[in-house]
Amino acid sequence: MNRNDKAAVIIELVKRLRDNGNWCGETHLQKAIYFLQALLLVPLDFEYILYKHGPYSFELTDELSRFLFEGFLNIEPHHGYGPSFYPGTYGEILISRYSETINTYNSQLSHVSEIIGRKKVIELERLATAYFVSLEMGDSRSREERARRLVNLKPHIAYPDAFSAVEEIDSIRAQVTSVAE
Amino acid sequence: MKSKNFQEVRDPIHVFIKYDCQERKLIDSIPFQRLRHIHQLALTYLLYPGATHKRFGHSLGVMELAGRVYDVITTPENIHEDIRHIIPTSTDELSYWRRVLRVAALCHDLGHLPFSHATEHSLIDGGWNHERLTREFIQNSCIREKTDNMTPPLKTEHIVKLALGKKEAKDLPFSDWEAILSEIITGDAFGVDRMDYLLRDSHHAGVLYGKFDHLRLIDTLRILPLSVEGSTEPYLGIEKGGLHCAEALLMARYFMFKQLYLHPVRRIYDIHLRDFLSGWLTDGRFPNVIDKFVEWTDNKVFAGFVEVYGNKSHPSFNAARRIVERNHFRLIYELNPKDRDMCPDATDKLFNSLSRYCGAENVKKDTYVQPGGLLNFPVVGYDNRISQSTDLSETLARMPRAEMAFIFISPEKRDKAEKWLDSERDRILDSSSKEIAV
Repeated sequence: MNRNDKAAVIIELVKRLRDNGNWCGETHLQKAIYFLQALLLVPLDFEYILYKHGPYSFELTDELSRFLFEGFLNIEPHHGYGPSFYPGTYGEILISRYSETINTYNSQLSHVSEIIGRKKVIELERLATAYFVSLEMGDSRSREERARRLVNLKPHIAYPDAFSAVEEIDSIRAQVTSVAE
Repeated sequence: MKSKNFQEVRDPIHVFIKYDCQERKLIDSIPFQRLRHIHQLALTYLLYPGATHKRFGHSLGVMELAGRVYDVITTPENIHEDIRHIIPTSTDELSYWRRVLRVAALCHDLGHLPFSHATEHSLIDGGWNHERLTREFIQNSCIREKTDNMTPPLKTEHIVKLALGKKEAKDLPFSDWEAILSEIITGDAFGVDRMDYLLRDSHHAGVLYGKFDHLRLIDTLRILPLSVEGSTEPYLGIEKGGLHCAEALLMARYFMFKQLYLHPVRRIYDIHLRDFLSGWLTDGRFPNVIDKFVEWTDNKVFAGFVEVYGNKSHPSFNAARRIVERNHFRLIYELNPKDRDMCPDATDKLFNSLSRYCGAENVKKDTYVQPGGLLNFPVVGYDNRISQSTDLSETLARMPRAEMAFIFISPEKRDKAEKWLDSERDRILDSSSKEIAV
């Protein structure tokens, strides 16, 4: 995917997240794009590491800043929560010109918008970290083992919440697999 | 007379910089002394004559500031109750991490190529950058033999993590404490690397926009928990009393980019320098083997300018001539909001058209967008409540990002190109049906 295609997919994602009632702060967008590329295999190629609030990409942060400069995205203050993103004037133009790319990834965009929905940052942190841990440890590890690893990495998350997140991510993965088949 | 355990040097920014005899051994090492010969701002002195300062002074300054910040954020009455658990409690541990932080600050620029950033992106093998070279130096015996012999010995991995930060040391696991300490050096908002280079570059270049009240700002820095929809992480933040200083720092950065770092003449000299080096270095690349790399300083490249300037058949002759005779390409176009509204990829279109008209060898393009994310950090109020900075400061919420897009033309083609551009510009930009080039 070239940069225009990637930009169009990300701007469309911002649009759909907002349509689903998400306020679309940077953390929401970071996790949504993580799921889009790691779970739903949209080739956006951002490098993710485990950092603040779960999986995080420094490259994506820089790219979002460029999108702001280029007028593809805008931000508005969201009191108490930090700024939220919405498509800028050129962003709307870009998604209309790259409708073919968006159509190619339409089902993945819809799916990730549903996963993210109105989830709060704490829920997204648990869920995305649960997926990160599952990929890191492999499928053979039990839910208990993965939940323990999650707590080890994010000590502020309680074990029952970590276990629920692992259960939820397994269920989402099963859905994704059955749709793909 | 017995030698002193602590020494100090005068510094134009911080007045005195103090270090002990163990840090002195590191400062005297070959990799660190090499920084005496790396200009902080490459060839900027060709337009700002005072800007001849080197990475050496900057690295000492970063060490000094890192130590000051550490002392403020670990003062018991400055520690927020909710993050107390991430801070070491024993005096020995606190002393150890203070030492690691200062050493990491000293080492953070060891891997800079000659002329600093100007030469980095196209002149070293893929996957390498100055941060990776810095890591190689820290792990190399020339530095390890100093840090292993400090009291207590410093773990190399700790120095690497703090000097590079999570962004450049993605493979290493960071504790919350290590992440905060690395933010002290590399942080986007309050990193002391940034504080020192703004103050130092401003002082030497004579561009006053880079100044801000760093003493007050450092006094108000705190480690604070920032909660976003129930997810809480520790961040480097400030007391509300320092908010205006933080605004001034971030405004200073913006102005320094606009006035100095993105000055078109400075940028074109970077391009001439890269053109020179790509034709002069073996295979167009600096070595990435530490034992070879350590020999490379600005001085060696200066000698190259003179050598190539005397040899008209050398592939880098034209680039050397531009620098030695100070006859750089001239700015012919700068992207402006009106053109961007008319045509989002105005710069690319004009560059391609001009290259066809004047010959590609006579036209250069340069674009840059200041990197980094949104400037949001925790601020603790007088009532001990914590807010996000963008909620408290309209200035921070709307802080512009420095950017530029330039086209340059050789002086010999300037008149011809200007006339052509005057007559053709609107026609070239008025092609709204074409694809946006990002």
